[in-house]
Amino acid sequence: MLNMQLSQMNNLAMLTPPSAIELNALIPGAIVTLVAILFILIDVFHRKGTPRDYLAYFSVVGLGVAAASTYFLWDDVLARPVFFGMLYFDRFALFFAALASVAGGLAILCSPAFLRSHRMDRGEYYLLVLLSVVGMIFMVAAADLLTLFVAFEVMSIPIYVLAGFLRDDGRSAEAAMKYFVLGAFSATIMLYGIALIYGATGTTNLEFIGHNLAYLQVAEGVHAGYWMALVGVVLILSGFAFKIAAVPFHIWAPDVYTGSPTPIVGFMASAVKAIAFAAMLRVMVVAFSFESLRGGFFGYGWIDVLFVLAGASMVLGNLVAITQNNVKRMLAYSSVAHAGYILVGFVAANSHPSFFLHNDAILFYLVAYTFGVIGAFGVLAYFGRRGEAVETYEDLGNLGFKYPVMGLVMGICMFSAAGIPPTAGFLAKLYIFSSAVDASIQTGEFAFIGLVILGVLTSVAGVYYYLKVLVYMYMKPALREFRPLDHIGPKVAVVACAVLTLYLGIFPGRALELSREAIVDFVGAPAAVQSVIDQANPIVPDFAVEPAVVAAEPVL
Amino acid sequence: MTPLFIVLLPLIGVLLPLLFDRFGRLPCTLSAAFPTLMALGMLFSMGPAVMAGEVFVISWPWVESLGLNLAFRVDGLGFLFALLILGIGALVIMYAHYYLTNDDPIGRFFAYLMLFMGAMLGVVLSENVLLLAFFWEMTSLSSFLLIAYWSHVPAARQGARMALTITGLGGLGLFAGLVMLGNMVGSYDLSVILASGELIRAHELYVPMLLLVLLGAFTKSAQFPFHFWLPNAMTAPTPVSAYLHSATMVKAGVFLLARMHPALAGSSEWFFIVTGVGLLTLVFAAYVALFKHDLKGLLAYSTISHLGLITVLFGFGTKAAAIVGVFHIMNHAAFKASLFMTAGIVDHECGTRDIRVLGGLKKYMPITFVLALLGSAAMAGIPLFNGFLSKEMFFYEAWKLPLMGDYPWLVPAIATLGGLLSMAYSVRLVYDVFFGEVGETPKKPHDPPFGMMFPVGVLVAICVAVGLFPEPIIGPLLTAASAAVLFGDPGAIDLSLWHGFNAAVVMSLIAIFGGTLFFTQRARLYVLADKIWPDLTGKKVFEQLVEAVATAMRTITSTLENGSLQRYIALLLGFSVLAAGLPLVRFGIEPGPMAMTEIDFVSVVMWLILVVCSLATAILHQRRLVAVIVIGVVGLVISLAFVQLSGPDLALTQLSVEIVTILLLLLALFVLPKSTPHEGGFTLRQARDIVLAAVAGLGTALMAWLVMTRPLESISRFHLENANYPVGGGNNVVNVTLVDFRGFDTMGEISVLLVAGLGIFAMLQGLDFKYVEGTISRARDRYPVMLTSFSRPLLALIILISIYVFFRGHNMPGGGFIAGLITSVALILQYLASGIDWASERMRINFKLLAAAGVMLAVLSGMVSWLAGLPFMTMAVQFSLPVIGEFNVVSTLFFDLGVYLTVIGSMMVILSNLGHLGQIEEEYDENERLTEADPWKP
Repeated sequence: MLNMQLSQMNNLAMLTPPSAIELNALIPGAIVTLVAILFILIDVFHRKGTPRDYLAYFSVVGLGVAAASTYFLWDDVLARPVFFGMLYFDRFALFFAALASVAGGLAILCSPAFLRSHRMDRGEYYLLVLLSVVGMIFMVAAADLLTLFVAFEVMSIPIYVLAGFLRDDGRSAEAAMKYFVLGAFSATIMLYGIALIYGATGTTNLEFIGHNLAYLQVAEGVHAGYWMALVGVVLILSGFAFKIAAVPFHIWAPDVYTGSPTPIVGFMASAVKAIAFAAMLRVMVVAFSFESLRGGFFGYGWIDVLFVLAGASMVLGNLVAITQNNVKRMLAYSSVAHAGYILVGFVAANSHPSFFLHNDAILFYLVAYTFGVIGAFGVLAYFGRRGEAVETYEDLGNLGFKYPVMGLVMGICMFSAAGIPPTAGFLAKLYIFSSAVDASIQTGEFAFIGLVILGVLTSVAGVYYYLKVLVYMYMKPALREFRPLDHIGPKVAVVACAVLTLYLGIFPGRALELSREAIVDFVGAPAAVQSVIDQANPIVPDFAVEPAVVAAEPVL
Repeated sequence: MTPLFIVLLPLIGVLLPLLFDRFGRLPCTLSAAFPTLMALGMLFSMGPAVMAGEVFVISWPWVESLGLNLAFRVDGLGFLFALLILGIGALVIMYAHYYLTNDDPIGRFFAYLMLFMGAMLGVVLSENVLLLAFFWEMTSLSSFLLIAYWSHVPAARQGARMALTITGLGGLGLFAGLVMLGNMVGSYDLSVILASGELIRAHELYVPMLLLVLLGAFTKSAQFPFHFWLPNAMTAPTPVSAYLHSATMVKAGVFLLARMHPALAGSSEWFFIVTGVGLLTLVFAAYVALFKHDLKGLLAYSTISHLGLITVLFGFGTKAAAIVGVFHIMNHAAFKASLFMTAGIVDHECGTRDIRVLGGLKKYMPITFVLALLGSAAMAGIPLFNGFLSKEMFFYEAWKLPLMGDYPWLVPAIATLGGLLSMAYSVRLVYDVFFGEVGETPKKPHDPPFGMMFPVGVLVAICVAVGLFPEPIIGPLLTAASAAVLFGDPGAIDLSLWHGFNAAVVMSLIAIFGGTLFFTQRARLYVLADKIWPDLTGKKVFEQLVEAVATAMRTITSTLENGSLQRYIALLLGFSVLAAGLPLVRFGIEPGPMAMTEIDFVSVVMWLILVVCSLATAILHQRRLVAVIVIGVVGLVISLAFVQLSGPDLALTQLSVEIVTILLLLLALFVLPKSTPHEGGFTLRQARDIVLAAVAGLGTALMAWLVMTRPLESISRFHLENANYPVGGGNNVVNVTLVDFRGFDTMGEISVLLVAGLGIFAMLQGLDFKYVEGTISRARDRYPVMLTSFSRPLLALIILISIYVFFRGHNMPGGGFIAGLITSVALILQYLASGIDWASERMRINFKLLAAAGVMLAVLSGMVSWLAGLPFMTMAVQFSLPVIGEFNVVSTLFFDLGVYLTVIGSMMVILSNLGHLGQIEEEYDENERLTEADPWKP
């Protein structure tokens, strides 16, 4: 088996020392890292008592450069893993690197006045956001479970700290405590899953795991050693489910969203979720896409687990959101529901290799969702002055007429979240459900249709509670006066979110193309999926390496 | 282009009323009327061609990958509906100008109205079904705005929300159904869908798709059991009710039935569902209308009933019935809109629309009376009115219905009953309002201004004219519309007034006379109805349903998410165990082929210590200091286990991590109370935790056993073979793996460490720490001489050791990580022994920067090779120095140095900040003491 592995490694160019061109893979992450390190240096010389706005703008510019770099790297991607099979450098990774950078930048823009008002105008805040983005960039590029896990921690730890950043606020401390303890716990479970996978396959490299599992299946049959891998897969999955806040691993979300600093909640709800989805897609497709492991419609594989999670998330998330009175809490449950919708697309697109290209619906949905959710939390952050923050529906009374721009932004974001045209949310939902329906029509499986119907019916609850926000903003009288945090940052950020949400809803062409290109350029997929990709993309890139086909020879 | 403009004009028109609002009411109204009339003109320009059977389809690609095109279609059906929407729209605008008072924001009203008009036109003129669904949702939303126009009235908001919930539900269902439909056919274009009826009906997903589409149609057209939103939407201003809730929006449902007729109709599922629901609605709503005391409520139920009638006609699935359905759509739009406007006039002039209060208005408002009388006659189906024609054709179709097998009488009987009730409430409407005693109304009634009656007059005139001369007036339009509905030639349509004496005439007679009789006996009927009619309305059911769901969800929330971290962890662990346990159950448990190794005495003892200490940690957790010590033992045993399993590197790392962790915990304990609060006796929660812990622990042990009895062929042999020079450049495999083969992961890990350090720094630095009650009282002598004097020489010694460990790392157990931890321990010892002030005075190092520099160094050490034109991290220089001996400088050494510095920096940031907390408390203590000793000190 070792010989087999070594020849595979040769095939995958893992034993050849990395060439200089591979360093391109590091550029987006390196830019953000460099910005972070420069940030520390600048922060040391910061004059006490002066606002740190310039540091925020510096970070935003840095993240903007990182996002822009993905555009210039778009055509330089490599069709094989780089750095001894540790990282992928493909458009899929670049897509999410850009998304994470943009989300981080928008969240930072919403922050300066908010932090000053909470007397926590400290440089570490921005630094932690930057470092979290670094983790995200490497997480989607990871080609190895260990690299993935390390990046996962780099992403998570800053978020735990940021959740408790308002340290004088008891609720913020509570949020951080809960998020950290539960997050660490779920990370441990995930790590245990990784250990089991290593035990079963002898490697942590995603592609090797795939190859070795295929070998195991031939050598031992499905019933002996194979389920061990399945236990590992399920445990890894539970770690991802925690980050995307899918029922029943969502329990942390409401408390954490309510207590954490509002701009960070936007970041948490958008970027963390998007990156976790992307990494989950990578791991599941590259390493675990074998028929018997994947299962599907109660053959009990990971598709079945996700199927249940999708249904439960949509139902529970939407229905519980109705009963909430706190807007942030409502948005927490609604983000659970959105995880459910995305999972519908995930289940449909990955239930069979031939549907793989439908994954672009997930990408588009995540983009649409990111802008909508950051916009909504940005508006709440704008009204987030210490001690007089807008929290409940009643607090929103008449704000729409008093602050027309913020009202309009909130309206667009809520429309998008509810999936009402002409916003991006509508097209995203349409795309997701359409891909699920397509899968159903092609396979004749009713299960997808069932999920779609469940999704559509529960969306009604969404329409109800999202519009409730607008009803309060425009139709109810104000009960209290709120002084907004008048600062250019959140204004720019939320208007950008609203404009993008509308733009993507009306002219989605380019974004859909990019999503499609990112999916078509997905590197590391097993042969069954790769053939589907090749059909969509007949042009073979320069660095393409023939997929390794090694005859499995039983050793035992 | 014309169809696009017809849709766009009202949408552009949304802005005009808002802009013209400031110039007064009349300009505002005109600015709304202008685009409407223009669109109407454009529509007329297409009229002749459409009547000639031409179908206009224009299409621009929008989101091609989704199959979503900006495509419009004008055929007979679309033309008919567009005509209704624009024509009645123009009349409603005129009517609303007089209806709305000066206090109402008229600009907003017309803006909403134009939005609705544009959306509605979009629905009827869409060629792409996704576009149709898109506009469909827009009608729901704009109707929400219109119903809630008087948003200060709670009932209006409530009614608006209910309407939106129900129609929104249907709209989303329709959306899903249409997506399914499009995927079945392979195109979202109506032209393709309508031509693929056979394929669709034979598809295995036909039934779920049909149900979803019908859900959309039934909710919009207020069919039972979704009917109740319509009466509650009557809180809207009357022009809205006349426009949306009789003529246009509620017709969208039956429009959909007509539109999809060629594609979906003709199956038995279609027949039974559509006809059944329609018949039930027809009779039920007509019956309820009889008892409504609110004038608009009566009309609302009558609308529901008539929509039921149209639904029944499309449900029959025959050509002739579909034509009648289209015909009745037109007729109903005309007479019902006129009646709603009349009701509005009555309400406007009398100040109330309660039928029990109203009466004898004939005297005061003669013109209104005549208009109402004619409109009601059309509604009741009296001969010579348009309503009669379509109703009689309906009876005829019901009679001829071939599909009912053994119960041929059932449908005609129900239809007649519906007609009878319709007659009864029509009579009641006219009689109770305009005849009888004059009631006490809030306002003195009189005829309204001409502008308010004119639209009613126009509509009533149409009713009468169509009733008298159907063929010349409506014939061509009906033929064109029917052609579109049938997707083929409808043949000659017989629109004559008298078809000879047949079953339909008998049914009509029964309906007219029976209805009148029913009306005369209504007093008794009311008494009876009060007795038998359950106090159950759709609204109540809906509200109770919503309430029940809300209660259930609140219960779920409060049980699942009570804010308790313990419960969250239990849930998280429970679900993980469940998910991981299922594969075990499914695939069974089979040990591998490897033989078990012998158990030796030492292992058993260690194992026992491990178990005892783990248990002790859990049991003694309330006494924090003890718990920390006991858990330290657990860590120690684990390091020893690594030694026994021949992993000295791991053991060393584990040991140093363990020591630093304990230090950390001790520093944290410094500021925490001595013990946690007592939890009381044995609780259910503890029982739950014990079970969970046992299951998870045993499961993990089981997994370990299963894994270890299996042969493992791992990648590590490759590392063993390739670790030494020249590939890896070292003899210690573990370290070479860390800094070379998996250098990236190590870099990531030190970044994690840096991040953690910075995070803790951010949380702790400058924290205004308050004295916590119950912290341990400490010894007076904070810095014992023995410890202080011992620690200082120890510092040099330990740092020397750490340097040694660092350098030997490449070939023997050791390395940057462990060395860094050892150095940190040495430094922190100084803090402990000599105090923060003493130590920080002598260590003027910015540890934050040190940590960052470490990461930077690690990155750069990789980059250096790159700059030299070599691949990442591949430089090795060997040279020998006197005394020290052979010396190897490899790029990884610098990498390791980076690790070393990062570890020191981060650990010191964490530990010294925690230490500072204790310092603050110490100052606090001293202040206390000072105040006691020196009472004069301020």
